[in-house]
Amino acid sequence: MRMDAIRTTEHQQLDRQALIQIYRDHSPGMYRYAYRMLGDQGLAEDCVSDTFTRYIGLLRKGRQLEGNLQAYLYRMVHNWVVDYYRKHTPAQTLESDAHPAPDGNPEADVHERQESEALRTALARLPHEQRMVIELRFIEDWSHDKVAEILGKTVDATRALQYRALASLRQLLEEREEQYHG
Amino acid sequence: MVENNYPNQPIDPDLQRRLKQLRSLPARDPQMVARSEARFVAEVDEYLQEKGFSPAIGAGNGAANHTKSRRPGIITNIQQWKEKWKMATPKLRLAMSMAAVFITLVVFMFGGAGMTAYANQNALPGDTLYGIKTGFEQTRLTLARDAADKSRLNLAFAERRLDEIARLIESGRYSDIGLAVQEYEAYVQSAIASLETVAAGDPSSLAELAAQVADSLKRYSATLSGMATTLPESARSELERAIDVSFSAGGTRDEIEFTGIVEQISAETWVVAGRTLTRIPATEIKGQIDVGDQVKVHVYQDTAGNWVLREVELAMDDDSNDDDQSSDDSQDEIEFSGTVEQITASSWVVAGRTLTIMSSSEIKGQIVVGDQVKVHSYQDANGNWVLREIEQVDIDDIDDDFDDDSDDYGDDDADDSNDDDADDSDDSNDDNSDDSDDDDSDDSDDDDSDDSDDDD
Repeated sequence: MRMDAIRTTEHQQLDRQALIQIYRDHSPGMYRYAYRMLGDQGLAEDCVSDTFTRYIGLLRKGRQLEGNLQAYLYRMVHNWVVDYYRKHTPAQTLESDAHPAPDGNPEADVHERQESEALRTALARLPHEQRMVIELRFIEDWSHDKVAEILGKTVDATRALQYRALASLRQLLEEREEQYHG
Repeated sequence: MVENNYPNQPIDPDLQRRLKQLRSLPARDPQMVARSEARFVAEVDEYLQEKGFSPAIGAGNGAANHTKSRRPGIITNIQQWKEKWKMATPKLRLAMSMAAVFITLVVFMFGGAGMTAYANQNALPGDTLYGIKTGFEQTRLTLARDAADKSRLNLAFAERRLDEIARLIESGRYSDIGLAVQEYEAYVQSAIASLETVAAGDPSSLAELAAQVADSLKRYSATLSGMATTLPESARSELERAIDVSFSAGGTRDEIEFTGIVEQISAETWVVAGRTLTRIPATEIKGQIDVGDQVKVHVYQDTAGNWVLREVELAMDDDSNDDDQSSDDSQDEIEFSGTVEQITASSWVVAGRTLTIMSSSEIKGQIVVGDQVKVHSYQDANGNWVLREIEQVDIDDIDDDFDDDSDDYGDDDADDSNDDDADDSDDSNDDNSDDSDDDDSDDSDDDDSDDSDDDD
């Protein structure tokens, strides 16, 4: 084999390792994030898979990705979900708490599930960055610093965002409860 | 980063508890995980291999002009990220769950294949290592996610064969061209076959993909025609075969469509309406056709002036030549609305009814399972419901009372709009489903109108 060919192969291996590592580092978190928004395992898997396909697609086009890769990936996941809900009525997942299934599950279980559903629905109504901040801060337990880096904001701005996000979330939940009980 | 000079904002303990509840997720299906990762690895390999290919046809001649400066930008990028995120490269350990072992096996399997493929990406038909290269392509195809993906891959691989043909010509290895042409042909035909699957399952993406395929084939034909002129007469026939395949598959040649009675059928030729038509391997014969049948044919002239049969199908009705299956005549057509429950190549299930797909079925827009649609359907002679036309009911028109729609056929004029659930953020891209242009992050600032640098 020619020398230059060997060298190219080495570089490719480097790329390959790095790319696979990126996948392993980020896909579990991306999956969790997608699952929480979609409530469906198959969809969440598709979402993550498509996101990485897009990512490779961008590399393939020689696009220089600037900024934070993880932020990029999470945003792509987020956009996939938003796009999905655009094309599909969110009836099954998001509305299911409005039409509780009349089957005979234990009451506590039903209640808990309804609560989670209500929360998920409310989260889905938040603007994208507000939602991200809540999910990453309170569900994934990330630090403000890390969330700020992902969102490309200062920590102060992230705190402000979180404040507003919590306020909106509470309001949405209250509206929901009024609707439900009244 | 800025220091933490704000106290942590208190969060309502009840809300906190409820948020934590969302933490637990059902276990991921290890097979899905493994498959997903394998697919990603295959895509990485695909990308790297593509990148590794010298774009200059004829690189096989040994002009060593790869230098370090040609090293693609991705490496530096990745290293930046690596530093940024302090990504360790953990060694795979023995103590792993069964699922992890499976993943590792898959990755090693493809990793190995990938490495070998790099080493052999310059292998040409007739070389010992050529089989490994094409074997890798086959593996990649089996991992294709859907028909559209498969179609694109087939085309990409067909293009590789063209590169090889060019290199074979350069090195005067005319006798090996046949093999490359044969594979080229197979890939082009598979690309077209996948396209047909796309047509049945996901008609909306069809137009774009079909245009892509047609464009590529046009380009390939031009490339091949160019190559043919450089060849000695004796070596030209193989190449002409490839040109024919590209033309006929891409339909870029002036094609004629006509209807007539089949007068004769043999292995090589058909006679329809007095014209003798050459049958080629790529000829598409739809359904069982016998002498005496009324058929619709698509034909084109090959380089030698023969009429080549590209496609033949039964003209729809024996008693009328109206092959457009036009709707409003005698057939009792019904219209109803409902949810798409199932989509296969041959039939759809909407609102509990199974509808047969015909070549005349008109599928408007991108429709997927779960969509709310309006259907025009009629019964054929055997009592089967045939799908004549299906279109998506605009989301804005969907009745709030989604659950009831399946039983009230014909009622699609609901007024309520309930599409505000997921759309608060306005940054989604409509082309998310393909791996195309948009850089999602660019528009991510649009949605949060109250930008967070303000008050608190």
